[in-house]
Amino acid sequence: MSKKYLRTLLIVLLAGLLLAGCAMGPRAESTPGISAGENQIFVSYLNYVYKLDPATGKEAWRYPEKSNIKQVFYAPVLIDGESIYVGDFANDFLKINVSGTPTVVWTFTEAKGWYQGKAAKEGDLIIAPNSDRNIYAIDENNTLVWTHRNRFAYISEPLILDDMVIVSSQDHKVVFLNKADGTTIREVDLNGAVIAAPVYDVQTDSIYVGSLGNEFVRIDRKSGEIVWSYDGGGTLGSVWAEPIIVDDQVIFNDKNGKIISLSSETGSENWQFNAGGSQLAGLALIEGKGFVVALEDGTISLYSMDRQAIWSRSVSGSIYNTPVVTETMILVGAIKGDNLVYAFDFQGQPMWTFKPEK
Amino acid sequence: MWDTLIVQPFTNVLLMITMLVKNFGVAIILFTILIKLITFPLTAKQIKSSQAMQELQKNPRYLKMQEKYKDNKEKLAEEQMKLYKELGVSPFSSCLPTLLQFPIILGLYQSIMRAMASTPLELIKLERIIYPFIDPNKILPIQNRFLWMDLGQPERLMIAGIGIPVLTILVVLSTIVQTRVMTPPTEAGNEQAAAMTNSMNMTMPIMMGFLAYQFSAGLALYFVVSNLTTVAQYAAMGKTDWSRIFPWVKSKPKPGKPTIVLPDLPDEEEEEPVIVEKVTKPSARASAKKQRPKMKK
Repeated sequence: MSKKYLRTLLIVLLAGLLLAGCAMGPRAESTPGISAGENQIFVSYLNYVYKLDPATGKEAWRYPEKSNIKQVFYAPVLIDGESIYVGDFANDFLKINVSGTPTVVWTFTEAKGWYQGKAAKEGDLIIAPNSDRNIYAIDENNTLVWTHRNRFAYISEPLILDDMVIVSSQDHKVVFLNKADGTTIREVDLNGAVIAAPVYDVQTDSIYVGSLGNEFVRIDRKSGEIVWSYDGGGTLGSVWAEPIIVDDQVIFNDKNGKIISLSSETGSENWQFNAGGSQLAGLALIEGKGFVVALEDGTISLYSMDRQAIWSRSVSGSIYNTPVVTETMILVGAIKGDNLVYAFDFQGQPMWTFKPEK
Repeated sequence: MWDTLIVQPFTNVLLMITMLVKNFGVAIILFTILIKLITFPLTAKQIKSSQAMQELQKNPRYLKMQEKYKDNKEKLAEEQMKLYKELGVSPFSSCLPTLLQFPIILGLYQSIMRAMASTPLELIKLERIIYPFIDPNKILPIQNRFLWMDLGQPERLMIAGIGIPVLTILVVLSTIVQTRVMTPPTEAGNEQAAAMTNSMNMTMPIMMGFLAYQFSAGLALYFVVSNLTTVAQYAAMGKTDWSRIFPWVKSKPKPGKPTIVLPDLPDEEEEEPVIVEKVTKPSARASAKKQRPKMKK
């Protein structure tokens, strides 16, 4: 075999390996999924789920111990006592016992797509949205109870309400399913794709959700009718995140930086202001103190309920996820910055940061 | 810069086609064909240049030169360059169109990947590069379903519980056809070239097949359409020897008009040895210098 022949073969093989290296694993860009429970914080990002010490932000453990290039985690974990439920981009949905060293209890492998949204659980029924256009209902013993298929990938957290499962669909719909068998009860059409999860208000017995079609609606839970729809007279931008409900008002934000308060009953506007930057992350409520606003440029601010800025901080990186509020702190996930997670107390003092060690 | 000049316009054209045909799979097919048609002049130039080089390599003077200077690579290269200059051909002229096509192909790939936004973050990024005259609400998110495929995921056709990678198989087959069409037949006696051609013919389909197996179906679809369009372009130029792909087909490509006309060049056989001697033989002065013993100080 001549040198020239060998050289050509080597170059082709190297190019192949290089391209294959790029091709291996899911080619998707996303943001860290943060979940917080009683004295525990979990962060899903790239090839691991991290458990953090809430006091210091130090990594307690990571799952899996050794990374698998195909196993990518972006969906926030669902915390259920000593177990967590999380899906990955290798199309697997796992129940992991986290009482000590993380141990996989079971793996649900029937999905054909990625798990991007957080799962929901009621009783022993787990509802997991998947990018293969299915909603999977699985019981505690890893038995598939039902599936529901739609036209688009399901990427947001479902809402379980009594005998119904309500889920946002990128197909410009909010879908109401029968919790027992997954059959469609009704579909409510909106103007654009619905990325944000639906939020329920017990006072009005209604669902509140915004869409990328520049609208925010109240849907009656029982009838499925749109009670009112708000578009700010054509000035509202696309809505990417969930609202917060405070007493008789529903507060939400649009992509262009507007923060709007509406009467949850009538949909009439109470007030609005512009936070001063693009915001894809939702608002986070701190009971009795106000709400946290996270701008895409890394600015975190706490506003009182009468719209006064109490404090403002800046973190390195871009924020796309709604901050997570625990009993003592605000957790903010960021990408393309110095750290992955930033923790602040309610006075805006930095507590710790987390950056995964390689 | 790259995004603004290449990826953004490509993505917007792809989205506009998707809006027109209401199917992302069909849009990928049409967009790939469109890009291939736009870059056809480059492809045609590449084909012509490569054919010119092939013709040149069959020229008796060229072959004689190869034989004569087989032990003097430097001189051979010098003489080859002289010949190229005289005939007005360049060995690099077939590479240039390929190089020019490369960013376009890369942009095409990136625009397909960009349009298949599957996470909210990717959706936001896609929304931001859409031109103002396209209403993102009407187009986003892209419906990734095409036939049995989810274009955002690696493709498998489930038959009796077994996932068959149909698109991967099509990528491998179309790459075999394309490489056979594009690679000229090696001349008898040139084992080294034949071995290289064989290695390329073997490695390329395997590599492309592996990529198609790993990547999303949307990209594999692009590979198939791109390969088939290239074959069609070669066929349209009458440069396809179908018997190389389908052994039962007897027809050969029509001889056609030669791409370059080689003039009858004077045989420089008498003149050349002098030059060879000049290069290979050391001068008398140099020889004397070499033989002179070194003086100890």
